[in-house]
Amino acid sequence: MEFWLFLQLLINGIIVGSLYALLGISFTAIFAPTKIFHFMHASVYVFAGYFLYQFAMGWGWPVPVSILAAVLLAGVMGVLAERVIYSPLRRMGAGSMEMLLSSFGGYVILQNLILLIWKSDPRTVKIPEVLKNGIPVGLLTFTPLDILTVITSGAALVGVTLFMRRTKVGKAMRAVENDPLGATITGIPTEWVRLMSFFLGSALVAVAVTFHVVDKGLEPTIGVNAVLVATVAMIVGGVGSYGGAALAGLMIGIAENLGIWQIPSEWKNTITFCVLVLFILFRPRGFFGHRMTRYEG
Amino acid sequence: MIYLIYVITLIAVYGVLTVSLNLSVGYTGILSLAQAAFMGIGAYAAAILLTEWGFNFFTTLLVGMAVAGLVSWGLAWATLRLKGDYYVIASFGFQIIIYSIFLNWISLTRGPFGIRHIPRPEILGFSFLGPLRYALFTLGFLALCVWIARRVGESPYGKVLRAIREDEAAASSLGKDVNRYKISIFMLTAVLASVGGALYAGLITYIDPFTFTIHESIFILALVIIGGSGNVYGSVIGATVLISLPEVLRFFDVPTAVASPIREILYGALMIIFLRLRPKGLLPERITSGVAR
Amino acid sequence: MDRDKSFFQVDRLSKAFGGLRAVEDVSFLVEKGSLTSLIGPNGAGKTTVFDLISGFLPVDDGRIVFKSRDLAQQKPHDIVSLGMARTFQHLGLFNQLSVWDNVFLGLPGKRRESLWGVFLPRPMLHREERALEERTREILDYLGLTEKAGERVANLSWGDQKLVSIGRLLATDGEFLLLDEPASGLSDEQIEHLKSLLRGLVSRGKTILLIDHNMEAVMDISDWVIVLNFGKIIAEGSPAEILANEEVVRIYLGV
Repeated sequence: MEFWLFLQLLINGIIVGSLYALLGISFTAIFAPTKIFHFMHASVYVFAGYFLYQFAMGWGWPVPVSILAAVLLAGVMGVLAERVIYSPLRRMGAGSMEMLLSSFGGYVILQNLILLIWKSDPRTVKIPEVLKNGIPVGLLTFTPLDILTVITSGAALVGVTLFMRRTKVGKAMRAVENDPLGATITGIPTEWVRLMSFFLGSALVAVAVTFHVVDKGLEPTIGVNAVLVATVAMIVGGVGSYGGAALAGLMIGIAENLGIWQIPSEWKNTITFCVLVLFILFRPRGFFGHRMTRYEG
Repeated sequence: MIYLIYVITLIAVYGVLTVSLNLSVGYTGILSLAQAAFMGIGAYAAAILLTEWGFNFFTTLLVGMAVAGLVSWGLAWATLRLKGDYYVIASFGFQIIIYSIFLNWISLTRGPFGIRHIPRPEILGFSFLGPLRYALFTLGFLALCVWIARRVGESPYGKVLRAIREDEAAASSLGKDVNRYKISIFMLTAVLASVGGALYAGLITYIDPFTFTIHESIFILALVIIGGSGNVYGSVIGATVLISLPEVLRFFDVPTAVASPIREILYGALMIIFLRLRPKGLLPERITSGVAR
Repeated sequence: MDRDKSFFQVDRLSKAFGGLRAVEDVSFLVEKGSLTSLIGPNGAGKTTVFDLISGFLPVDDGRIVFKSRDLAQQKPHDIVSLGMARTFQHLGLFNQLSVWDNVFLGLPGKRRESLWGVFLPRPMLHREERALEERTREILDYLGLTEKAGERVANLSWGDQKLVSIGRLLATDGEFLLLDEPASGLSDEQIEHLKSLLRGLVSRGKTILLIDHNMEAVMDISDWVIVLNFGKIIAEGSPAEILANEEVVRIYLGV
């Protein structure tokens, strides 16, 4: 294959992969401390996109403000999911199966609310044209938007990692992740930590959808794919590892784009999910995941 | 009128899908997201073999069941030993993969164009083409499915399934090979789902990949929960209530574009409510405690 | 001290979780027809030893030999068929099923428990079924649970649930029974009942290995006592020898 073509595909892959990385990080932020497979993340993702659309296009707010508002609202949605759906179940002593099923129920409700409110027509959010103008570099092209995507994703990774390592809240989240019982005993307000996790993860996923919307438009169906990619990235990277999820996300993006050269693009998804299934079978802890060790004397 | 018969037939089809999923989810505690995939396998087997190869209905049914059985065996063997959440994620991935195959393997399934003019069965000259006849045909299968589920539920095998649902380690400690049981019941679920899919294909006489999505799997799961996991009749009632709902709404002149989301929101909400307030669903599981004297 | 190794023996058993050595170089044997107790402070590794022996945890190192068979790679359900059965600290009863069903499920070797058995006509399995029902009745009688046979286990008192778990254990017809904290949560009277129950089982030919914290009961009924601390055996011997052991006393008094 031509070198320049290869490089272009690689770059496209990195750009798409950055978004996938962001998705993986957002999902890890929720799953790692709470161990809840938060399928509703898909609806938060889509809803955030529609919030953005409504604010920027429906009500004419400036785009940056709309983005901020959408991100915050998404965070709130995540928190509500925990307060309204998961927490009551947990207090009832419900198992993960009930949590999961409720998550599906919530997903269905939200998904159809979107259909009722905004119908199913594709929407777009307009941003300054200049951001989407291709910048030729040698034989390669990418847009300022692309660069922004990669930078944001990188910043998110760095930000989350620092947050987890340096801040009290972050360390509390890690404590809850590693040893929920011990965390409760040592006085960490685990419920509050959970709410934070949901807020953080949901806000991050709203950032991800922003890039998707301004680049490719908005439809109600984009949620499932997003949560699938997020899941794959999280598992392949190793549950609990943000760097791992990011790296896995990048790899998936690159693999998808380089893969188009050989494999018809409609099979991309299938390949990704086959990779997921293989990892679950043979290396459930992914690349950098922590070995689950729990000692019960 | 004909429309009512159509709705009844549709309920019967979903009854089969729900009762079969209940065997895995309700009795055994295996949360499967792949029911739509197996439904699709049965539907496509029927559609392809009936339209392009002119097989008779029962042969296509058997082929669909065989494929579903084989595929489910593979999936179960590989993934059922995984811990709870990982298993669900695997079944999720599997559902997506199968959907992708339906959508993209155009030479086999005609992809998004779907398959039309699926004929209804004809046995020894007796045709089930008419709506009433096909309704009865389908109801017959529903009855068979209910019978199977009841036999399973009341059998010693069924007791072991429940034991597995309650505490796998304990069941293991009593000498039960837990994986074997899970695999076998999962296969039964998949095989019956493929029957439901074939019946569906005959009902609508047209299928495309967009029916057999994760949303469909979630819908059938909701029917199980709302009807009462572990209760066979509950599954049928759950299917009846939720399938007939949009039809009822339509009766009151609510447009489809609104009726459909409303039905979905309702079942989503019911699912959550039932999980919170009535974890046993509409009808609780009947515990047959065997001889107690 | 020439004790008989032929029934059950554990040799240099080790298990670590990450950096934590839960069980370290543990070797002991259990003589046929005896009642052996495994004691030690919380976290000493006792339940881990049980989990390793019964196949619920993979062994890092060491051998487990039961009636001349190496158990190290076996699955729990296979080990049961060799004649070893266990209870759990949390009981793990099938809460939504009846007492009868719980005990009945313990019975071994039933063809009818397969999926094919669902569809076999009933008369074919009739004789097998009667024998099994008889056995279940026997066990319930032995434990005094006959009146409660139809009750859902979740509705029973803890003491009765304990009895059900023992009933389930007996149903497996295992000759080597492992009991994890059988006396926990029981009243004095119930413990007395338990003690005579366990000695009764031994007199009927069973071999018992149990974990418990109730020193009085342990010392009263055991033939042999093994003391575990931080994953290692620190003492073993007859109850009298253990009671006289200073180190053991020190550990239990927390000095």
